[in-house]
Amino acid sequence: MNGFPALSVENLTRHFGSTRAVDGVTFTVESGRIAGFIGPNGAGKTTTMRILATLEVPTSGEAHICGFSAVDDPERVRQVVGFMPDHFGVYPYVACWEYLDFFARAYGLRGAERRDAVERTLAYTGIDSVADKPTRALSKGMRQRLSLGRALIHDPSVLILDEPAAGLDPRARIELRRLIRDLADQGKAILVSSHILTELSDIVDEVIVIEQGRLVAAGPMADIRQQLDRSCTIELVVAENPEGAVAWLQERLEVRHVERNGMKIQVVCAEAEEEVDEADVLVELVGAGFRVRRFGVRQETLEDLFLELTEGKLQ
Amino acid sequence: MTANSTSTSASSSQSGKLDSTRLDDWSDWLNPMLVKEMRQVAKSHVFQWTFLLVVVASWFLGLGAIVVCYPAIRYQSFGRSLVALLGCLMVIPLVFLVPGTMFRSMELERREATFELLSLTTLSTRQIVRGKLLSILAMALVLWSVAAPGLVFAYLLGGIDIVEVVSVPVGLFFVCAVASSVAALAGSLARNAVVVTIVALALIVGLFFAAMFCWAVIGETIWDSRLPAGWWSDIGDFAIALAVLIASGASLCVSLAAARWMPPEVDRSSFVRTRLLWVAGAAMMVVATLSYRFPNEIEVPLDLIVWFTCGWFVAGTLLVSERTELSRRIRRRLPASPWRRILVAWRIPGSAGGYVFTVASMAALSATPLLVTWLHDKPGPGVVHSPAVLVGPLLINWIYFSTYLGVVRLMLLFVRRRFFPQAGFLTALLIALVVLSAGTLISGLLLIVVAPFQPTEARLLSLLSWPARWVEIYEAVSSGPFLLTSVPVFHDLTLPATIALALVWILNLPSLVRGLFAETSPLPQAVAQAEEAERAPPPTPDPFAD
Ligand SMILES: Nc1ncnc2c1ncn2[C@@H]1O[C@H](COP(=O)(O)OP(=O)(O)OP(=O)(O)O)[C@@H](O)[C@H]1O
Ligand SMILES: [Mg+2]
Repeated sequence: MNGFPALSVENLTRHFGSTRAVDGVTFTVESGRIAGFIGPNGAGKTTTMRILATLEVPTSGEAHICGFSAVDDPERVRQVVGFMPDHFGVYPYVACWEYLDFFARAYGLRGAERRDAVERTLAYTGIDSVADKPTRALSKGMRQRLSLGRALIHDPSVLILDEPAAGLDPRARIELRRLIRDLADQGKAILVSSHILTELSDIVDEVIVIEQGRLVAAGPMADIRQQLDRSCTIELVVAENPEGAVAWLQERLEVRHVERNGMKIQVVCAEAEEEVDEADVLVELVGAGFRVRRFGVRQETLEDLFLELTEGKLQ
Repeated sequence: MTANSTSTSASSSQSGKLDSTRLDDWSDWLNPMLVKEMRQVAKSHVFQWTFLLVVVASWFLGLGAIVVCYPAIRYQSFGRSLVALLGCLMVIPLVFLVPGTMFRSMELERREATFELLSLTTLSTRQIVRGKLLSILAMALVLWSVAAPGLVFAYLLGGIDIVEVVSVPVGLFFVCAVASSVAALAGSLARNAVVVTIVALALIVGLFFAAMFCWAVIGETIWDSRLPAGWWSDIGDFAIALAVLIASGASLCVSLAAARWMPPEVDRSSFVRTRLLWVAGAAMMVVATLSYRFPNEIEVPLDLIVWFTCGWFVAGTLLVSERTELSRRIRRRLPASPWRRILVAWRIPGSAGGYVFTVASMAALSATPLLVTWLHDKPGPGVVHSPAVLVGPLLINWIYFSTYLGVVRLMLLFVRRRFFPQAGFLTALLIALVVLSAGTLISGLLLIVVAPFQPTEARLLSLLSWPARWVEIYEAVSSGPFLLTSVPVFHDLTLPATIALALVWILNLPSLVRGLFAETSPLPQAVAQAEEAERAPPPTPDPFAD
């Protein structure tokens, strides 16, 4: 855009009475990148997003979209940001296309430009088949699409999506992921929050983790993993003698933690993933006479990262 | 109608082709909210049923009239009764249904959280509320246009002149617009279910009285034809001034509804103040016309001033309860030069600007009757007063007003600092009540006890009491002609009152200065760049391109 990061937050703080909903959060998201915004319930995700969308004003700190301050310059910010809140407001007796048409007008689109925007948004989000249906009669999935369409109608360069996947079936989620990826490929910066972490891990370029209003970690997933205590988890199923297998593994590797459930064993090693050659371990294990049914190193998921980073304190 | 044809045009648009784009393009000139609400209203069952009922009723009344007086239809003046009946019938949709729809529409916006979505767009809150009101009034117009053939038929039956026939829809439309504006304000007050219920009940009662009033007026003027022939030339100017006052009051309601919806960080004060000035201007017109009509009754302007002072006190309490600290958004838009700040002090949002605004407007309000009587002050038999007589009472009234409001402001600031930082209008109103009753009730009671024994103390106590003082002045003024010197301007007790005012002002001064001369927020660096970029906009990539 104009030489500024698409989305940036500096030392953002928002208090509600004595509650520190957001407490000195700093991060940036560049154009064309998808940032996953994660944190436990009440961590302050929605509040941060609402500040970025100009719906809320911070107690202190700055929030910029394309260089425009969401605090001082809300009018300009509104033109370049699309916000999809976690709720969906409907009007009685308003059909989908009328809904989008209204918001297109509200964003100042006129004439052919407006009609094109409505038509293309309907097609892009795949709701043209229900365009004449009243918004109240839509299924959850269709509502989410319409809501995304509303956020996209004025072609914003920054998208802020608050739990867009909540309540969607697996197919709809895959569809949504595809849409989000596609939008990022078009050069939009996207900040997306979700509780369903498996949801995000495939598409996000970076993660921002907050807890109790404070930033815990921010950056590309690999970087965050680097900063964390490096460890690796081996999962295996044996046909017999699980105690023996555990004892053998504890001798062979620097084991930090073992979990056993019948024949199923999970060992967390202190070594990093790169330092453990799982093929060697398996060969040695079989060589030692253990009948191994299944063996593998578990990839650390966003969920693990989340659990490791946050302490689960609710506010 | 517009809504239907646009709907067909755009539903064909989504199948790929667009035929009636011209109408659709034309609708771009309208407020987006208006277009949306009209579409909604046209599809709502309530409206469709009302529409149908009005059609049936006006046909029924027309046919009934023919049946009742068929043989002598050319000789009877049945038209008057028919217009009155139709008018009374239309009161129900126009005074109950239309404002009720407005209330619901405002209230739903918060309940369904759609208002948030609207605040994300580039529409302003005022545009939103105005669009809603316009669509509601369009609905009223449609209903009247359905009943219009009935009115035409009634006129053809005879016995009523065209002015009277037209006055019924025009008058009812006016009442409908005012009631809808009040309903808009009521709808914006709703924050939770309990408040909604209370406000809705109050609104229903209010609308019921409005309907009764309309029925009574239609019955008296149209049915019974009791309006004296020369009324227009007698009090026409006053009627217009009153209508303007009511209309500006309605417009104030709409502005307050919009302000209520705005977050406190934005400037939600300047436009409300402009509306308040309209109301004040209209109020002055009422004072002026009445003073002109009754030149010998000096009580008339004074009476009105008392009423308007009460109104301004409430408005002043509202403005004084604005935030003391200005948000960054507001500070960025303040003029930089201190002289310009002083010049536009009354427009600066926040408690300080609010106080200056109220006190200044009250001064202007007080000056108006002086001006009118001065202009009207022709020597001659029967003219018993001169503008000089008014100076004293008005000045004293203003002094009390400023002092009391200043005390309210000081106490509110104290409450905010010590106990309740979020204290708003309701707290301010409570403080105002406490201050007023302390200054009047308590001093009044003490006065009764003290007066017989301690005349000097009694005089000091009566000084405290604004109404007591007012009654004193009022009696003195209305009992006969006075010269400037005999009016208690330089009355011994006026000096302490002025000193009290000075004290209140001195105490208010630090926070007033802080509010009015708040530092401007520095202009964000990106804005300058953006303005440059706006001059030559870069080509934006097509978001929908494959
Ligand atoms: N308007 C408000 N008034 C008072 N407190 C609020 C308000 N909005 C949010 N909070 C508080 O701020 C904290 C952060 O809330 P927020 O909604 O931002 O969390 P979140 O991360 O979005 O949570 P979730 O995952 O449950 O959606 C919570 O403790 C919440 O109670
Ligand atoms: Mg949330």
